[in-house]
Formats: sequence, structure tokens, C-alpha cells
Amino acid sequence: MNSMSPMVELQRIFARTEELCGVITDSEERPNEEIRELLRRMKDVAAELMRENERLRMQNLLLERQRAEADQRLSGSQLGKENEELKRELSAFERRVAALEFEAQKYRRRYEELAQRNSALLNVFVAANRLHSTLASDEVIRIAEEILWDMIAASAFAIFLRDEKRGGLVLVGGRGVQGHRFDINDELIAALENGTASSMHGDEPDAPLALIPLKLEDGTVTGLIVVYAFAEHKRGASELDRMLFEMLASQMATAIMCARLYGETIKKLRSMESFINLIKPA
Amino acid sequence: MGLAKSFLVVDDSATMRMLIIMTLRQMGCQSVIDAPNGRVALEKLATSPVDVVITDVDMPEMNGLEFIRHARQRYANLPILILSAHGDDATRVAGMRLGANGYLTKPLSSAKLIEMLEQIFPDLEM
Repeated sequence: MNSMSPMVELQRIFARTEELCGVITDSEERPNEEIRELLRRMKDVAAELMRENERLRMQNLLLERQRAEADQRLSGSQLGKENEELKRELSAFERRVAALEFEAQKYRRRYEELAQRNSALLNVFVAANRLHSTLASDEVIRIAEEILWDMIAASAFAIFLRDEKRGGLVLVGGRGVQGHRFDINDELIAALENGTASSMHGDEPDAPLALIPLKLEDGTVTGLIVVYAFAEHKRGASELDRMLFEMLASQMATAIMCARLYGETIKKLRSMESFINLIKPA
Repeated sequence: MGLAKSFLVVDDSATMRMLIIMTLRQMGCQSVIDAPNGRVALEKLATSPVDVVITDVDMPEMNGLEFIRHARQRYANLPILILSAHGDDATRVAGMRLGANGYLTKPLSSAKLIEMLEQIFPDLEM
């Protein structure tokens, strides 16, 4: 690397060039005035550029020094301290905003969860209210059909009740199922005997998707809801559906039992009234 | 603050009517009337104007699509939402062609209902 300053280096180059020009023109005996004039102009321009460069370098040095002094003054002054403080506060605020955003997301998720639960409870409340709004067995079954169709979007389902006299199951309601799918097979009987709900996704096209026993509080199983298909727009059974199934199973069992007992009581009452009317002295 | 709109709920299922009415009441709605089919709904609309109608499709006497056709002739700007168990495109397209403003499928999702109401009433406050 050349340690010489550019100015000195340039001067040396010009001197050498002049020397060489002298040699060329002497040896070839040609007038060299024009070349010499050109060299002089180049030399002047180069010297001018070097001076300008030096002036700019000095100016740059001066500005850098001024900036360093200003920075030093700012960091030492009240304004500088305030600036630092504000930077720290800004950083703290940014951290706080990030934390709050995280919290907000947590609460949003919690809110959605609660809204879903609230909706589930509302469904359960309406279903229970409707099931217990009548003492007629047929009406209870019709309401259960409405619940399965409208609230759970089951597009094919059947409701079976236990045949108290002959044992087994009797079909009492359902929608969207073709004849053979109502068949009472061993699977249904087993579900009735075990009394446990199950969800299936059998390979057979007619296989039930869910078996829900109608169970009283004492564990007695009085019937079975069998779901064969859900509406096309519904993707399987949700958590809310499972909750509704369980509630529906217990509420429906109770409502059917109440309706049945009420019917039997009315029947007994009427026969007793007939009997009393018969033995009553005229 | 509540849902300051009046509703007419049309569904042949009393269970569904009760569920929709209770959902709307939970949203803060104070004014809801209901009808079990399209014919009764038209009668009720004539005597009690409402801001929004929510109707089922499959109903006896007068189904939802027929109801929309009649209602649109009399109330050109009345927002009508369909709430149906059918998710199929044919029913959806038929309903929208007759002039329904939106289509919801059962089971009812209150979030989706709010979303649809916000589309119909951009300045809706709840």
C-alpha cells in the first residue's frame, strides 16, 4: 500500500509525465506546445479538485466534531435525560401493550367459551321446559323429535321405548329414516341393557352414529334414541350436542315416565269413578 | 344497551320459536312476536310491523318461501332471514331469489345471527 499523500503522488505523476513528454517530443522532433498546454490544464483541474476534496474533508471533520459535542451536551442536559426516560417509558408501554393484548386474547377466548356454554344452557333450558310442558306421552315424543331435528340437526333418527310387557323395544318416533333402518337389532338391545351412551362411525352406511339411552335418575333405562345421520351442513356431533343428548335422555325419560304415570293414574281414577258410580246407591 | 329492533319469528316448531325468542331476549331485544306458519305471519305483519323477520322454510299451510314471496310484495324493504334445517343450495338459492336477506342453518348460532344482523344494520348497537 502506498503511504504517500494523494497530492504528493499526483504531483509526482505530473512531473514524470512532463518528463516523458519532453523525451517523446525531442526524439520525434514534433511541436509539443499543445500537449504541454493540455497537461497544464489537467494539472490545474487536479489541483483544484484536490483542494476541494481537502476543504470538504475538513468540513466533514468539523461537522462530526460538532455532532459529537451536541450528543454529549444532550446526554448531559435535562432534555437528554428526559429523552432517555421517555425511551424507557415507551419500551415499558410496548411491553405492557403486548401483555394486555395477550390478556385480551385470553378473555376473548374465555368469552367465546362462556357464550357457547350460555347457548348450551339456553338450549337445555328450552328443551327441558318444552319436554315438561305436557303430560301427554305423544306430545312428549313430538317435542323430543323437534329437539333432535331443530336443536341437534339430526336428519335421521329414531326414538324407541322399552316394551314393559313383552320386553325389547318399540318404535315411538323418528324422522328421515327409511323402514329397514328402524330394525331393532342386537346392538340396540345391548345399548338398552348396558344403559351407556355411545358414538359410532361405522363403515356400514346404515350404522347408527349415536345411541343414547333414556335413563331415569335411578338408572332405569326406559328407551333409546338412535341417530343415523346429521344434516349435511353439520359436521358430526359437537360438545353441545353431547350435553344436549345427555340432558335430553334424562329429561325425556322423566317426562315420558311422568306422562305414562299420569295416563295410568287417570285411567285408574276413571275406572274407580266408574266403579264408585256403579256401587253408589241410586 | 340492547338490541333495539323488533322481530317476528316464524316456525312451526314451538321449541324452535321458544329458543329463538329466548336467544333474542338474551341479546337485549324487547319486542318479539311469533307465528307458527307463513299465513299467520302475514296476518301479524299487517297489524304489528317489525324490523326483522326470521323464518323457517318447512311449515304447514304456508311455507317459508311462499311467505317470503308474499311479504316481499307488500314490504319491499323488510329484512327477512331464513333459519332452516336445510343446508342445501337449492333452498338457499330459492330463498335468496325471492328476496331473503340472509340464510342461517339450524341449530341456531347466536354469533352467526348477530353477524347477519350487523350486515343488515351496519350501525347496530347491542
